[in-house]
Amino acid sequence: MSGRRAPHPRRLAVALAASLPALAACPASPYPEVAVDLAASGAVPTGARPTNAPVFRFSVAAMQSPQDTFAGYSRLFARLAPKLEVEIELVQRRTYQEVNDLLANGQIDAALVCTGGYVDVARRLPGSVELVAVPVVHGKTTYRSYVIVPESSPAQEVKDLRGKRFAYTDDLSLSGFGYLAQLLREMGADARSYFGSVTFTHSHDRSTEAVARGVVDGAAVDSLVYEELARASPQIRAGTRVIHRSPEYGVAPVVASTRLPPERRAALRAALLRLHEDPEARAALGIVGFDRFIAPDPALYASAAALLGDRP
Amino acid sequence: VTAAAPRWFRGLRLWAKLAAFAVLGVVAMHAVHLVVGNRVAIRALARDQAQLGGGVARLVAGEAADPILLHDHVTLSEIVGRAAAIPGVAYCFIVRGGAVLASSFRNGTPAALLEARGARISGPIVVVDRDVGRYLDLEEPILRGDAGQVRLGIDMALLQSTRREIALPLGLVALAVIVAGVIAAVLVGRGVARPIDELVAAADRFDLTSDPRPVRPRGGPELERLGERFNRMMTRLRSAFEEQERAKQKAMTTERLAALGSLVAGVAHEVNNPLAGLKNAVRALRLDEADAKTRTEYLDLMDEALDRIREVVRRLLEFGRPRALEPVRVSPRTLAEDVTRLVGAVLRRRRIELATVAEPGVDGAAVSADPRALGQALLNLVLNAAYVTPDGGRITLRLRRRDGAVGIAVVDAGPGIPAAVRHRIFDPFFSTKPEGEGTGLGLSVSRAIVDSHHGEIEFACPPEGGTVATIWLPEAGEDGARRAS
Repeated sequence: MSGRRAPHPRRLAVALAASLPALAACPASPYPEVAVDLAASGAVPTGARPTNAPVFRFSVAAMQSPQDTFAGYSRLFARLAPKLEVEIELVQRRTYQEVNDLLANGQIDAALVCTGGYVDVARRLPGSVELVAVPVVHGKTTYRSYVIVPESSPAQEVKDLRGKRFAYTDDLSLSGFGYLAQLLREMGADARSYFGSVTFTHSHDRSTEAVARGVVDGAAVDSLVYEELARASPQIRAGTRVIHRSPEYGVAPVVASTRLPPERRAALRAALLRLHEDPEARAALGIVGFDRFIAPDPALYASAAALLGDRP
Repeated sequence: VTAAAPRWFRGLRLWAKLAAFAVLGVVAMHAVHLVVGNRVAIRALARDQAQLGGGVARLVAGEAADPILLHDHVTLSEIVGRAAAIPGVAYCFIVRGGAVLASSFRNGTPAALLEARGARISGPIVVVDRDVGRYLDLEEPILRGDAGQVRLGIDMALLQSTRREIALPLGLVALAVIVAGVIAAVLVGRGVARPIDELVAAADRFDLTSDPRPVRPRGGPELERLGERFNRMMTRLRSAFEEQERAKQKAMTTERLAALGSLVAGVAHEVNNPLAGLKNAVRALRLDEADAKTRTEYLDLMDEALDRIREVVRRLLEFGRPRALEPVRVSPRTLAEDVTRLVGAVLRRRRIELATVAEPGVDGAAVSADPRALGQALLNLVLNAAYVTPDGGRITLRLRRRDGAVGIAVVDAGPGIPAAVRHRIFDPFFSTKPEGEGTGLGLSVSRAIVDSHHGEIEFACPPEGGTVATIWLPEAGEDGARRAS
């Protein structure tokens, strides 16, 4: 017994006991731990943080979905901001009406409003806004309203959609509502009761998407937005079909609130008109589908005003 | 194990040790299970929760993008509220540029929670709120972070309760195994210990003076073999004991005869003198010269001489006859005087003086002894002393006393006992005397006699030379002891 070094049971026990804490040392959680004391911590109130820096509040009407608008215009404003020497805040609202109200109240300084929206605010609150610039899209400053249906739809013209599910964009939208409503009125029908069901999607891309997915049987959309979507998405291209095209109307302009001092309005116009000279800004303009901005011609919106003017 | 184990453990019964090992093993195993199993399970559950929570956070981020861009705080607050209402979700809030846009915390979001996640950490973290709660904190960017982040907290209390749920059945299983282990240990331990206990009882019962009762242990061939060897060993011990008893008796007889031989010379002298007196008296009576008064004197002398001869013969007869011990209360001085009378004649012929001296306090002390047997033991010591004492020397019988014992020491002035043979002097047939002069049985017989009186023989060789051989005997009766002190 004494000659052989038998494993000592007490040593074995000690080794076993020592290995337990080693096992326990491997963390129970696979994630890093941070110790806090929530009870003793101060509370941060909910709400946007007020800023003291001069901010230029620029809205873009929801012709596209808020996320696509944000993605496109954030970059454009990032190039525009140094030229105006202010920070630009992109303000979005669900409806055109809300943007118009903010403009009229002076809560925003400028906005890219849709044609229908511009005509509406100019008619209801004359002098509250000033045309600043007009974007040139694929060499043109005009666009149309399209009535689109799913590719598989048997409808060939608007009246084939009677009693079907239909999507409008916004009741202030020329291409997404105003034009078709006028067309139906001329047909002796009512825009809201002609179809079996009506949905306001508040953006042209959502309307297009709804048609492509077969959620609705038809929709009135902005031709520029639709063409852009059809170009980018095979699904839209293959899944939808245009059954009606409106005459051309002036594209959505940039307007400024007249509460903004004239010199700042002039500065905004000057910056926009020269924006395409900056290569990076030109790339940003391309993203939102614009070639450049040009000085506005009020006559451009006469046809739209005439169309929407006799609306009840 | 026995060498390393602490004393208390060595004292435990076998079944208790086995049970202790079983319990220890199960507890250790269970501890390892709990630690390792729990950890593995908890990590898996945490990952699972992070995955599910991440799904919720992504859903919230997708839902929240539009309301954030549209500044629709009502919808945002509804989304956050709905997310926080999902069972297991502790909190949900949306931050953008350091500001909280919506939060499930009604009275404001704790700043510590906002800052818990450094700028670099984007994966799941565990927020430990002192000892109050643990939250798996997830972050999901909204529009790649451009529109802010969703922060979602999963209450990890669910994990803790899961851990308890795992531990409970594991603990119950461990308890059941411990109970089963203890029962098994008791059964096995008892099974092993029972035949051992039987053997122990048999060993305790074993009496050398009677024939052994064989044991029949149950519990397997090993134990049967052990029992068989045990029985054989008892039988052998019994035989050896009987043999030893016979040898002892024989040795005592032999030694007695040897001592008798030593005494013969003295006896002859003792008998010779009265015989010479008798012879003279007979011759004088035969001459018929004496008157009546003188004849009467002669007859008295003859009677006296015959008495002396008869006394000598009686003592010799008594000496040679083996018999059982008959202890009586006797004083050490009496024993010393008896032996002096027995060897006096022999020693006188060699002009050796045999004196008895008593240490203070000895007088009055008594022992319980068979004077004849103890006389023989003492005689052996005296004869040994005489053997090494030169003619004209001196032997002293010193009566001693120590705590509870009385001693008779035989002190000689001889050469002492050589150190080399001291350990052998009690061996039977060991002798330093020339061949033919000693039997080698004297001291072994003396010791047997003293042993049977519950005493002991002590040898000392003082520096001044000689040997002191002391027979110590227990003091008899309290009266004597008290008188002596």
